[in-house]
Amino acid sequence: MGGGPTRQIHDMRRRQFLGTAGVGSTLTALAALAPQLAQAHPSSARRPSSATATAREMVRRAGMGVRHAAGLGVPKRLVLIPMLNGTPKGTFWPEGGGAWPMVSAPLEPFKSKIQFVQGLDQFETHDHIAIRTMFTGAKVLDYSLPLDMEVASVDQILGSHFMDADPTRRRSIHLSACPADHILRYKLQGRATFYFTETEAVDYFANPANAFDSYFPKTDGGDDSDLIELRKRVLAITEAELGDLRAVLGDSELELAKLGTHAASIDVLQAATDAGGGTCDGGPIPTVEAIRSRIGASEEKAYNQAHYSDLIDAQLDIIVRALACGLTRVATMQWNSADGNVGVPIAGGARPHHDTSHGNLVQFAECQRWYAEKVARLLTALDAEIDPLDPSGTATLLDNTCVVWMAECNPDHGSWDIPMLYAGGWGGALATGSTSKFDFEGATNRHFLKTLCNVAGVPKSASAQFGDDDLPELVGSRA
Amino acid sequence: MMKQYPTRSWSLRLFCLPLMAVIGGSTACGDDGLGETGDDGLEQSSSQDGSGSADDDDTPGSGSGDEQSSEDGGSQDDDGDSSGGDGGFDPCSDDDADAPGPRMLRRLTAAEFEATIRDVFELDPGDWAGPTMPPDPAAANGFTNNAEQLKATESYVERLNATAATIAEQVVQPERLSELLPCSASGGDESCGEAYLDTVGRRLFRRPLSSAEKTRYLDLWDLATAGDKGLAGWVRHATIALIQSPHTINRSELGEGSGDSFELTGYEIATALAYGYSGRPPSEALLDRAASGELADADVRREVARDLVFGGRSKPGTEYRDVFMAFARQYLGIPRVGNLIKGDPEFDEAVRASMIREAELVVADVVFEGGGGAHELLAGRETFVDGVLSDYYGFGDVSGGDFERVERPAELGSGLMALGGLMASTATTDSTSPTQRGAFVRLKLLCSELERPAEVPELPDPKEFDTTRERYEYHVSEPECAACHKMLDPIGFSFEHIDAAGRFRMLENGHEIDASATILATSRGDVDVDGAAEMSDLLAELPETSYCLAAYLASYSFGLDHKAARCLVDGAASGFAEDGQSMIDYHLALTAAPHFVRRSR
Repeated sequence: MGGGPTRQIHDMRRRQFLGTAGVGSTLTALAALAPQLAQAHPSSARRPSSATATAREMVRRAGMGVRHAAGLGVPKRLVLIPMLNGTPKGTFWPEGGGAWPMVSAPLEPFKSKIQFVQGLDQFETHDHIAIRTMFTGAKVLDYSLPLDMEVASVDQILGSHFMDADPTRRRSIHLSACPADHILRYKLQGRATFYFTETEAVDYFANPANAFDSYFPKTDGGDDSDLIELRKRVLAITEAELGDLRAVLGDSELELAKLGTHAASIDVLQAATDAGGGTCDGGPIPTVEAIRSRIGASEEKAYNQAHYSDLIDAQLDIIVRALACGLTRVATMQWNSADGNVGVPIAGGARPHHDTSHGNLVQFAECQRWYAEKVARLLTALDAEIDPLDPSGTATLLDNTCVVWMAECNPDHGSWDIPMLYAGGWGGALATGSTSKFDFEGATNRHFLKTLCNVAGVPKSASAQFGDDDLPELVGSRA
Repeated sequence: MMKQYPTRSWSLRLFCLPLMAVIGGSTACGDDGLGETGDDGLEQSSSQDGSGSADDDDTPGSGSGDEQSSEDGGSQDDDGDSSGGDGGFDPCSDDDADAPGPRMLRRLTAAEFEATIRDVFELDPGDWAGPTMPPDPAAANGFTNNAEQLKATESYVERLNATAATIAEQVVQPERLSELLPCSASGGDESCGEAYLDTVGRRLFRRPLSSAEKTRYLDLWDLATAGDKGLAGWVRHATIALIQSPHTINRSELGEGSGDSFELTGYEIATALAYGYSGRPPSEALLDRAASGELADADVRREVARDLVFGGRSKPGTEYRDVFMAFARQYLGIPRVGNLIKGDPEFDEAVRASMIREAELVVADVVFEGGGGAHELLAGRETFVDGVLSDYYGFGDVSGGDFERVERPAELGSGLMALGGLMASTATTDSTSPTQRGAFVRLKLLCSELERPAEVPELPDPKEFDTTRERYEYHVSEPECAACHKMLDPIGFSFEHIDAAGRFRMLENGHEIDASATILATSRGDVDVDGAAEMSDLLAELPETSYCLAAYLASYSFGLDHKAARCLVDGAASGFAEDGQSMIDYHLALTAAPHFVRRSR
């Protein structure tokens, strides 16, 4: 467990950064902005029992997660969302028991289910490249270099852990909205990659229609034993051909690694084939169908910023569906890219996100508040669903989920004391309802990621990349 | 021993802060957006791209150049400043020049995959909407066909499998099946299945299947044809297996041989020619020529490539144009203009769309219609505008939606660097960025290596200065910024008459614009220019510009990083830079490079 002395070096570095930020004059103006009432609705707006019954039926049809329902405890779920470019000072952390400030205000209705985590730095990484540190805990020096430690992000670690205990059809799902300024910049230089397997950045859907079709396919005769056998034998041919190539490849590490990636991908497909053809048959999702009607199946059109808000809504709705029906326990969202300039539709017109973070900080706070409203939208949806897998029958999906909203840096590019919170408490295993301040030297996102792993029961060896120390203050009474 | 080339194989190295080599990642001096919008081109050193790090000496393009850079990077320049670049150009060493690169598997790009499926199965968009695999990831230099980046990831394989099933459903439709496999009309036995592998399988693998390979597929026969499924049942599953095969989705450039040298097979050469010059798989006829062994002859390869480009016409055909324009779009980063936001309210969707089209038309006109090379691309005075752009730019007197060729006023510059879209994409929302524009020139046109400093002060508040130039000059007065910015910003100053939204301005905030600059460390030494036209003319004349453009086209052709590709084509690039070859002639000349037919360990 970490803790201990003051962190003079930490504070000095932060002062150096803030001293050059030129934000002071803007803070006065920010203070004058009155927070608006949130649009979100807390758990009092839960859906009636018929919806829960529907969700249970979806789970039953999917044939997934039944072991939890059989009494294996609270099914933990995880949603990771980046908060890009941080927040202007004075706009995020609740102070003194008053109304929450401008950016976090939309989340205040979930006050009892939110924990602010204050004082953490991104581990030995600065600036926007910390998008690759946020969820991996890796020290990242460079956009284009691969992660040198072969570390996966926490979504992959927890996803694998959850699957080991209670298989789901997918280890994790990955959604995005305008994740780059053009599809030709998909995964560019690591600027548009936040989540990683041990070997590469995960792929992500920019078009909700394609995500929906892929994650919730129509059943296709998957119970036909001959068909399943044929599928396996087709995959076996691919595996054999990979073996042929491996044999002639010699010692080219790069090419062998590519074949290894391919072979591992076939393994995953094989496992899915073994699992059968279950789906989450909950019918169409209105927001998804709305965007489908405008852009069809085009991934390229999904990079059109004109649809940004609707893309986000649809992707968040897919996350809720996938978590509710037991398709997966882990989802990530990726909106915009680290230093992207997607126009955020605030009052007065869309503002380019990154440029605004270095320009008008009042407007930037409005941008970040807009994102908070989207987070609130997700929380509302999660809190409106009774968790069909929870033995208690009363907990909501949000209660059993941990939605992490974390920044990679602040507008001054400093990755110290990053804005961060989580919502939902894994059924009480994580503390909620207050602000935890960590002022010991070296308190970083690693401590938080380690906490998640420890609370989830991940073996120490599987979370060694996060170090040894966690944050006991964040452990809930039901851990 | 190093060859002594006075003017060949340029690679300007700039080590902005030598002691911070390979730090990267943080913004360059100030907060002008450099490196943050993903289009500054300020690349970080990569240990995988064959350059930059000490542990990749066996990768093409690294080696002596990098060693020399370490020595040169900190040398004193005219100012006595021990950083910031010295104009040192690194020729390829004897060992590196025209040495073949590594053996590779090049996963098909989405476009190549789609073309392959449509060709082999004769499927039009009405039959099959296209692949649903994830987009091709962009490499550091912006190209989406980099072999290192293209992998069969979990999502790719899963969606490839689903795509293959969709295609197979189309293939087994009786009418299509009888066309693809005439023996199916008579019911079809196992020999008919083998015929499918000999025809369709050969097209997909771009080579004949071996007996052992065919056996694997035919082993599906009994189970797949059981009941009333018949031949179609087998074809369905064999098709899925063929489409998702690593032999289909990867272009093999492994070669045959032993020791340190591997000769590409005729089929591998045919595949490289076909995809490289038409974006499509090799035809049956080309596969037959591959089988004959004639593609080992450089003259034959060039003739085949020329035929793929021109197809007997005087101007390039559609397929080659698509290949080249895909390169040009990614090289210039033009498509992203569509999503730019500017403070200028007239920079609307129509303007952005027209700017993209303008760039495409300029490139196409120079390369396809004019048979031009680097000089024409950079120094051309003509552009294309429609009514939208004519109104926006204020010249051309064009109305309506059709683009017309017009002469650009001299003060707006020339060629690629006068494109409104390019100027807008190298600026911030409300202000020009001399740094971004300078970085674009250094990286994309001069192939300089820039390395990012760590922590530097932000740019001062623009309100404190009359002009952008003053703001940047003040900022660069800070020593930790000067080293890099003196190499970048002066280039950008020369474009200051073109505003952040890509159009001409005489004044900035009511103040005269000073577009004069001294461009440091060119092969001609330090050169004074005044304005965009002189800057573009300088670029057009500098041999390093041609070498750089040559490196990027080779990069795109070979699926390698441009730094890794540079020395693979030393001879061809020399012809391009020194003899003023056209882009297309240079592209065709790549077929004679040893890398086209041979690989090293």
